Amino acid sequence: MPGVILFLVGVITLAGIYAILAMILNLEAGWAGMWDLGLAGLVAVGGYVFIITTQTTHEDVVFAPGWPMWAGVIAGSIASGIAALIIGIPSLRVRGEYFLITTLAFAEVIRQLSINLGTVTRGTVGFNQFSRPFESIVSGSAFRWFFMGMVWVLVLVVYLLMRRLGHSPYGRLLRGFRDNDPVARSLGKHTNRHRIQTFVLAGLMYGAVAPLYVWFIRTVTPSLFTSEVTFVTWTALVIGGIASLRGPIIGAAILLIVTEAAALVQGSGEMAVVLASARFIILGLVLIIVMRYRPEGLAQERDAFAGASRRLEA
Amino acid sequence: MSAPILEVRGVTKLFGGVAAVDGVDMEIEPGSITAVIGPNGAGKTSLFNVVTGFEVPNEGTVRFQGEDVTGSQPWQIAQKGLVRSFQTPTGFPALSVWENLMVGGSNARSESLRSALIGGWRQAEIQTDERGGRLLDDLDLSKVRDTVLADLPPGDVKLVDFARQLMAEPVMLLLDEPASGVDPGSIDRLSTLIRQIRDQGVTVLVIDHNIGFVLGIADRIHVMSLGRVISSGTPDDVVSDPTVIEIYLGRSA
Repeated sequence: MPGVILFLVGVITLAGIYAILAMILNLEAGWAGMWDLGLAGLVAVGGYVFIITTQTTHEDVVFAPGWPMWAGVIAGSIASGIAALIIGIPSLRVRGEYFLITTLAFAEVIRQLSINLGTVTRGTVGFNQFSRPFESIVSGSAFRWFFMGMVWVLVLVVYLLMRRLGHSPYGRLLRGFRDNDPVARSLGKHTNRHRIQTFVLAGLMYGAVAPLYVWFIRTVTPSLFTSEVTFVTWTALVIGGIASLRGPIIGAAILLIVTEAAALVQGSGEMAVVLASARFIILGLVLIIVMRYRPEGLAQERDAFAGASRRLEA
Repeated sequence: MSAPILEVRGVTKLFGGVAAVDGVDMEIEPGSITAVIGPNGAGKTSLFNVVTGFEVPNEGTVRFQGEDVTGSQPWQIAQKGLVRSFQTPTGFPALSVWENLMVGGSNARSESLRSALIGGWRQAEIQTDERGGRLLDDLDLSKVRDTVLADLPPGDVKLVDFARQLMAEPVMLLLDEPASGVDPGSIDRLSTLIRQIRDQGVTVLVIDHNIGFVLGIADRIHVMSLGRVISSGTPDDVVSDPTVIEIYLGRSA
């Protein structure tokens, strides 16, 4: 049954994409304490800037410079980074709830813009004619396997980067002021600068990986970047273990496989509708079970950073 | 008296029309242990907050080592060497004792995102680790070196607080109720520690309610009541001051 296998390849690919998003969220929220509810907006900025700058046909859009793919990825990343800077400067001075509300509102503004700026974004129709990297070399169903490998190589790269950041004095300071900003400031730490830098870094990364999501879905429409992206990423992070190192990957893998597995159950058309809505019930159940029996998540911060004092000698 | 290390001039801090600090003048001599005592609500912590930049005074100036720091950010003031503690034992609960000390002892360069990405923090880290190791031994904390702060009893958290502040190599240390919550048996040890720090050249300003502890360590005492300094002098001067006795005992002697 190759259909089932190809479906699973898709699920594993999507799990990888969410693992990357959850690792970035872990950096800004888990370590630096910035509870970003607008990551879908940052992914949208990256995704749209990528697709717009790489468009070649001018049909019903005013801007289609037809840049090469690599330039589009960089442009998307920079655009998301700038968006993060613009949100971060006013909202990170006042902490906590304000940041939460600002980011949530930002994501909604971006979604509304993507619907209404039809001459640039093609509105709700969106884009669905675009090529994917190496598609000309690896063809047909082999591409799905290739793409899955590419995504998981990136999961590894992002993981190694996060490990480097997490074990550095910079990561340690983030995990410190997350829980006690006044003490950090009383030790001479410019915590606001660290927060803004970290949020911009998260923005750059969301923007840079947004094309993966776009290539996977094979279309770019406003409905791709709803708050569902934000909440699935958050759920994956919380299940996996917020502020840990491997948690985001574990959480994304478990969550995506468990929720998408519902689609594997064979059934009538009516059943399919029921199963589609069952995804969210399963998602909620997994979250409740993990929170009940392992509230810090499957992987835990204290395990991830245990014995930090001995790492220096190694 | 040499030039004061900390000079507070006419500082007033209002909270909704109520003067928590009301025209306070204070000069702290370098290398001394000075105590600020007074009943609850006297304005001691508000004064600390103004001095360390956590509150901006409505009036008055604060000069540290001759430099006007009024209205500067807390981190800017701390980087000049004025380091404070907080009343409740706090610190970074998710970090181990060692990590708490390392944050205190690390500089902005090794903690930058740039260093995290391209490296170059290891050498500074090894030096900070050496200082931290000595301090952990001195404070008898080596056995809990890798324990997460959230798992420590409050008394030990207080000691870690202290160690973290010392790691920042302060010129002047402001201690907000260091003896509160410390068991009586450990008070002597705390007093000895504070004297040792003073002897190493660090100026200490301490707020506390424990009169016995304060009289035992302070070179000078300022008594505050209702936002004002009502008495200043050596411990002997202060305990024999009729106004102080009235405030503490509720009647004139």
